[in-house]
Amino acid sequence: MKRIIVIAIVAICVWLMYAFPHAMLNPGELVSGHQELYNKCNSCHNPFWGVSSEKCIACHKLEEIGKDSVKNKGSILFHRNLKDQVCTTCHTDHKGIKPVNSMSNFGHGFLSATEKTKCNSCHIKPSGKLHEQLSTDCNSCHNTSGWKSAVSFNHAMIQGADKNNCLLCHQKPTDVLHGSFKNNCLECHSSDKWVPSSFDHSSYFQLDQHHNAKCNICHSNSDFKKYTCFGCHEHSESNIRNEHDEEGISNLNNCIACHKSGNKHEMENSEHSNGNGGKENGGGEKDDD
Amino acid sequence: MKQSVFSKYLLPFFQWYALMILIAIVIDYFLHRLQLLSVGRYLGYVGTIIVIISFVYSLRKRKLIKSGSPKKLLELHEYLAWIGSILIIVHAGIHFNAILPWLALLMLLIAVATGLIGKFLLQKANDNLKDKKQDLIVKGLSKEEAGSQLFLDSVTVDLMKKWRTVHLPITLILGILVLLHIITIVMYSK
Repeated sequence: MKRIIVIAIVAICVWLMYAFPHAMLNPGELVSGHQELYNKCNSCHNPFWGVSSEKCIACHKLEEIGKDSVKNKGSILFHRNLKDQVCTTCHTDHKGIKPVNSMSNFGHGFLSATEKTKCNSCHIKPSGKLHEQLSTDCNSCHNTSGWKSAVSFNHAMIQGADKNNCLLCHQKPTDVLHGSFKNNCLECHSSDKWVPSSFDHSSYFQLDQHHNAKCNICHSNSDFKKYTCFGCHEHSESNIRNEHDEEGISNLNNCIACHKSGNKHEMENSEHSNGNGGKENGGGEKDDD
Repeated sequence: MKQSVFSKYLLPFFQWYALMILIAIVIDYFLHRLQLLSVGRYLGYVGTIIVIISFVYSLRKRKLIKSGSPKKLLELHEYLAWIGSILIIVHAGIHFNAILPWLALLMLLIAVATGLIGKFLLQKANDNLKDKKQDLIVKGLSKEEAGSQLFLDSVTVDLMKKWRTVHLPITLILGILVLLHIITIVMYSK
């Protein structure tokens, strides 16, 4: 009895698979162009041997693929050169009605050297201001392994007024320091690389261990063109005035003229080492002129 | 105080069954999240092999193999079949395409359910029998007399054990569907 039941179940299943193969076995909908092959699995499949390219090519002549469907007549009809390739390397089916879903693993390696240079026959040129002024020589910046390739961008390719307009492509940093600047990036940075920048605070004032303060202690309102030394409790205006009155210095707003290194004895040291009274680098006395 | 039938027998059944579905959903979620969908294809093979290994118990029970404790092999069968089923459910995913694999999945879910029901019903019957026999012996009956009085209960146990054999034809149908599914996949895959 058991044996009869087993045989009956197997027979019913096999019959159902034979009579309704699409409903019983299909792993997904066929593309729109293959809808007529519904229930005809063996049109493409060789049981146990997969899908043979010969069966594909029997309908899709390689030299004719894209001939009528491609809008741009200058496009490459590269399938004609793919006689030795397996169709399933790039194409599959049962991924839904839209053909685009059944496209995978396209490799630019299938293209000839000449075809590889004709990027615009398949790809649309980006519409940004940057790409508008560039040639169709995409390989200068991009390669076929990916759009964001390892090829470094050559800023020399940008011509005209946009050459120094960094913000055309780059986003302005959002920190307080950069927020105070306009589009004059090249004053500190080069087009070779962002870091390191050429900006050196020591050329204005040395931020030693006693002056390792936040920007707004000296540059109030994030105005980096101005500074004050009175933002720190060490340097109250009355203290500084008392000390400098003895020297006859009355201009107390240009501290870095004499104390660029942050050392309050900078002028005295300079006098000793130079033996010329420290007048050479715009000393305090000069401020009174 | 004795545990209620619900908490002792029914709750564990629902817990094991729900946990199986939940774990499968979590694994499937992470496979999708980590773009490891192709792994699901192979989990079908792994799950099937694990379930097949669990049938060592059936071989032992039918004395086709002589070694191994039947009790331990039964436990092994329960856990391996449960784990293998999780992997097969992940493999199936929620894709409404061919009917054959869906039928196989449906039979798998039924087979696991019957297995769990059989496990807990058998446990309940054995517990009842043990308790009643002990009561009768305490009341002064000999083992034979207690056994005689519990004849009907033992019949109940037998019935429950027989009920468990419902599990077998369902598993058999599952096996047939899985085999057909595998054959057609081998026939029509790339």
